[in-house]
Amino acid sequence: MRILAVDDDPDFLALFVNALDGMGYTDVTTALSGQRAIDLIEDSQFGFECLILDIKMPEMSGIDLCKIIRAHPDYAEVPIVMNTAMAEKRYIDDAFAAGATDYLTKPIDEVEIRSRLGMVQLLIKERLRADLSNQTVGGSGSASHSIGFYDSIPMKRIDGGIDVLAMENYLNALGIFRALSVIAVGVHVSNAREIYDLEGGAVFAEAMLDVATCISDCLPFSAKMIAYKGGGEFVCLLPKQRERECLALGDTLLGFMTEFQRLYDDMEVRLPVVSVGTVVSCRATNITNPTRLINEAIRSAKENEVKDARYAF
Amino acid sequence: MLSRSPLEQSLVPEPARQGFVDMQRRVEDIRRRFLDRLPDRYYQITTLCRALDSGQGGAEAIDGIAERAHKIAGVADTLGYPELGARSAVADRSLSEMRTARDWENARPAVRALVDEIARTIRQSG
Repeated sequence: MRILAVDDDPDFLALFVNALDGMGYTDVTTALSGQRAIDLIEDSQFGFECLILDIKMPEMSGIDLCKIIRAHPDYAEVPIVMNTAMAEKRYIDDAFAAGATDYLTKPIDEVEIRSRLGMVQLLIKERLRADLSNQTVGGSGSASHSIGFYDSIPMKRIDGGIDVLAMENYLNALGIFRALSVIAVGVHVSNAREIYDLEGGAVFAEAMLDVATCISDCLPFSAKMIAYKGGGEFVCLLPKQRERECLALGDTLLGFMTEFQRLYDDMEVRLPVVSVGTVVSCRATNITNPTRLINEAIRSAKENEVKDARYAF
Repeated sequence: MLSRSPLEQSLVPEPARQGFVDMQRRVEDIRRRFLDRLPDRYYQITTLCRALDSGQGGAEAIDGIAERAHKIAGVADTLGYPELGARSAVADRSLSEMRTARDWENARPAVRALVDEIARTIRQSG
């Protein structure tokens, strides 16, 4: 795995590279500043597969660097792991809002690094497999099926959009006490399978992005995370103080989706039918495994499908 | 291809075949470098503290202390100085919670404890 590690402290960087070397990660390039990292990225022949950024750096912080890297077309999906001694929620929030995939804490904890980078490697392999699969299918002349029904769809262009893996990592990084300050709400598209089967992967992906855009528009504040889990299922992670606004999310979302009705009619595509789940809070039983919170939110949205399906006619 | 600076070259790991012994040697080199820098950091932090105590230091002085505490917090524990690591982390956190230079009195005890621990580490390292 080709890693770029960025930190303004040469002592930390040397120790970190040494630890990575001991774990078998030997293809590591280092940069002592954000600007140097950008130069290396621009100059890199094969690109980096994983970026590990210190948050607190002079001149250009790791969070600003993360935003710049994410804007680079080749690095929109590359895992970015933030690295810092400050386990403070405001930095965690900023890091994930800037597009971070995961979070490491200083001082060096080899078990934590091994676990996090192991996940990054799995993610890279999974994406490579999906890319190869898409190329194979695309090569046979059926580009519309390039996105599978359960595949993730990049949410980067959505305000508050985030990978579901990054959302899980965010919950992990929060820890139980800070996680009590967030709530999750699921959104389920009940005719997702039908749209996919009738229209194919490309149209389906655009329809899901329309749903994500509407969800984002329904939540007019910056502190929000919206992840697409695949199969027409979304999860929103919001500050607990926004709970009241979530109560009307179903009705508001219906209103926003209705605005798409004519456009979908003109294209002869079925409008996504959405149901919104009840608000789910972090509890001791689900915070040890953050996917439980995400799954609970989705399950609630699915349960609401029958009694609360929002048909926009 | 961008050329590596001498410092960056020193960060590139040597071939893995040299194994564990060389990794230990590299850590030892880093520890020596860290200890060499510690008296300078002690001097810089105490100078900035004096400026804040006299009411002359502002946000720059706070940031200066926080930057040094942050750097020590990142490596001290790994280099075998857990007490120094813990005190620098507390100082880093206290300084990051400061809103203005007027809050210096709240962060001062944590920075004082860090300064004392730096002095003790320098003395012990001979």
